[in-house]
Amino acid sequence: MGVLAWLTDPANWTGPDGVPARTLEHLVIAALAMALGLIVAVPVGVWLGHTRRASFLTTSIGNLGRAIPTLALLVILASIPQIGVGDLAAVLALALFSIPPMLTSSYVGVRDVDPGARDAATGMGMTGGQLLWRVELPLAAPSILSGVRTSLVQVVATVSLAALVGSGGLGRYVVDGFARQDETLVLVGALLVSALALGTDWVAGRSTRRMVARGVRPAAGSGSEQLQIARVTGEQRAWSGGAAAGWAGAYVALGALVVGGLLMAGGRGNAEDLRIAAFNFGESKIMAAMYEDLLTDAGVAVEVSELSSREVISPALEDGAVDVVAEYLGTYTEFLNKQVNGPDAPAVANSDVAETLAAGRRIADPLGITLAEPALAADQNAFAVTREFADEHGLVTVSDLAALSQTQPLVLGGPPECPTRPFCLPGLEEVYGAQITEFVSLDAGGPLTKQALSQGAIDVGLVFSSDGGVSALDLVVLDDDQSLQTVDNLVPALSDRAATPGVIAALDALAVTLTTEDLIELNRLVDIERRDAGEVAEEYLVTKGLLTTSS
Amino acid sequence: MNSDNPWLSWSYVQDHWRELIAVGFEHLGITVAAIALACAVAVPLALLARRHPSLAGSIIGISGVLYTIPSLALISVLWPVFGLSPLTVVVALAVYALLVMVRAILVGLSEVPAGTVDAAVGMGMSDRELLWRVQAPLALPTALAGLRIVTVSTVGMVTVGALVGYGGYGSMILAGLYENAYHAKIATATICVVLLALVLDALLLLLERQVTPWVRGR
Repeated sequence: MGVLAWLTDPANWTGPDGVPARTLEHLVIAALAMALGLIVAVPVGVWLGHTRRASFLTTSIGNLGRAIPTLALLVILASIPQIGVGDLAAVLALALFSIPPMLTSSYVGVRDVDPGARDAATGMGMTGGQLLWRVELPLAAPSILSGVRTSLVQVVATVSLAALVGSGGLGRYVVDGFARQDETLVLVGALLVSALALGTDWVAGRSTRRMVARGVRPAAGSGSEQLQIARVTGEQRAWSGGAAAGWAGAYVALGALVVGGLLMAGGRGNAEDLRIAAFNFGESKIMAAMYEDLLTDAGVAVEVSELSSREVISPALEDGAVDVVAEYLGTYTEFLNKQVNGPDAPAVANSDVAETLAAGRRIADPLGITLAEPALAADQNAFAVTREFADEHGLVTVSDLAALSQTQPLVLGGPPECPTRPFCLPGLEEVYGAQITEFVSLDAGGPLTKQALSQGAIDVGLVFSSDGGVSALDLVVLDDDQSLQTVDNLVPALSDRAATPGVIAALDALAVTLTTEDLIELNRLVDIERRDAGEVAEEYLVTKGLLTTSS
Repeated sequence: MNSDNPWLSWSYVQDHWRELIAVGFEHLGITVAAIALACAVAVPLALLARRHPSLAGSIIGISGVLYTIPSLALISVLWPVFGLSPLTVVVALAVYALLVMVRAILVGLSEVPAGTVDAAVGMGMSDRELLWRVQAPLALPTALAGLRIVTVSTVGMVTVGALVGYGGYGSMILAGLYENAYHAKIATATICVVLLALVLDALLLLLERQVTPWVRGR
């Protein structure tokens, strides 16, 4: 579906996921953040400028503030238990983010008021307060307001990042679109956020101009953006050899920096080595470390890289940029099924390992992806509630939950793709007949979902059954009594060049050994005890006698 | 959750210093490549705008529009084009650096006093001599100030590249969140980003002093 078709579909303009609701959310988050930032930054900046104190401190805060990544602010605030994931973390992080430009511009604006004007005011007998209100503030207004405008536009653009930590706003379209492999949705999100930011800039530009006293306003037409650059017209000499050599030299140097930087960033290891990829969560790192040890032990040169999502890794597996990855049988089979047969293709994975493997191989083989033998260990999707909630309503199975949903509203949290995947929202409604009042888009069994559960922001969440954090947070996994979930045994997915008998034999040895109980324990050691994934993996392999040479 | 989950942990640094350094090189590499790419485009654009002042408005306008595209969206949109490589992140960051660089160069050129230009013309300088002997050196401090701003903000923005697996310390920050909120990992990686930004800023300040010695007496 094209962007235009999406935007003209009335269905996308209503409901909590519609454009008006998302835009409103976006603006409310931005407005709250700006209000908080404004209350702090402008008075402090103005006062410091008035007293001409702490110039070093103010400029340092301005510089340091730019250096702290917004992503880090968001993640830090979201992982403070008292704040948690969602809109509050977004508002606080963006408020902090909005402070430096406003603080600096207020400080500089007041500090740089013409000393003559200041002297004249003092000479007229003005007190410090009068000087500030009647002279310094009006003269500093253009500078202060330009800082406010900069912050405002940045905040409006950056609210989109907050979707990564489970907050609302137009960024949801981008994050959800990425998770659902829906390029249209990503483009729609990019377009809407950009339009909103540009619109905000335009409105802010108009209104800040009105707020400046007439005498201080730049004359109409000669806006401050208008740059007058003196140059000589007329004689233009032809290119000389020296000038050309200078340009060539400069570009060789810049090109070297680009290539050198890219090599520094991406050139890890040897092109001959097999590349093992891990998703960026503990279990996947443990699996990657075990594959690394097993293959190294079998005399295969490998390197491990950490990548974010299946959407990134799977295409890389097809074209051989990645060679080995520990996948989840049912989920990956369905992922490839949707990729090959379209988003509305009927499900081929089910709760039987052999059938799902056969279906998965039928789809993966033509893509140049080999699914090796699945491990005994599985990490299924599962619905979890807090122990308190389970005890209160006597919940043991998902059917119990469905029964409960007939009498009271239920809020479900899960990955962005949940409303479209059979194992998630549609399955709950169609297979179990549950009535879900509201769906909250969070993450795939990650910290956002678990925190939202324990904070009571959602009643039921989709988690992973082998997650050590589930029991640590006192969450209860409900029994999937209608076999909604597909089998998600860990299975090595291999690129063409990695699918050699030697590699497959080495990985098969693990497949027949690793059980779900082992996996839960390994996860616990890494996620809860904070042990190193590589160490934990090697210890396990040594204990099970899977390494011939102990390294 | 786990009660023993400190934000600051020296033992975390001791156990992971190799990883921290390796990730630092990735972060630095992406930053340097993005800024070099931006400079390679910004300088000719700025000179074009100088020669044809009517273009200045549209060059700044278009790069301003690009600047407001959220980094998350730009990286997601570029990913199908450049695939699984650091180039995706580098190109996206170069787009953001571009606006600031072009604007800084143009502001620097516009701040050259008209009297100085008149004097240079009166001495019989050609347009190219005027540019390279008078305007460029006088615009250099402003352009370098722009470069410093770009460097610091690029170091911060590299983190968003975590979305496609090349986010330097950003990948660690996001991974920390997903490992049941591993506070030490998140905090250490954040501190490393800030330190990297401060070190690069200090190095550029030194460079600025070296190449524009006449500014120092201010």
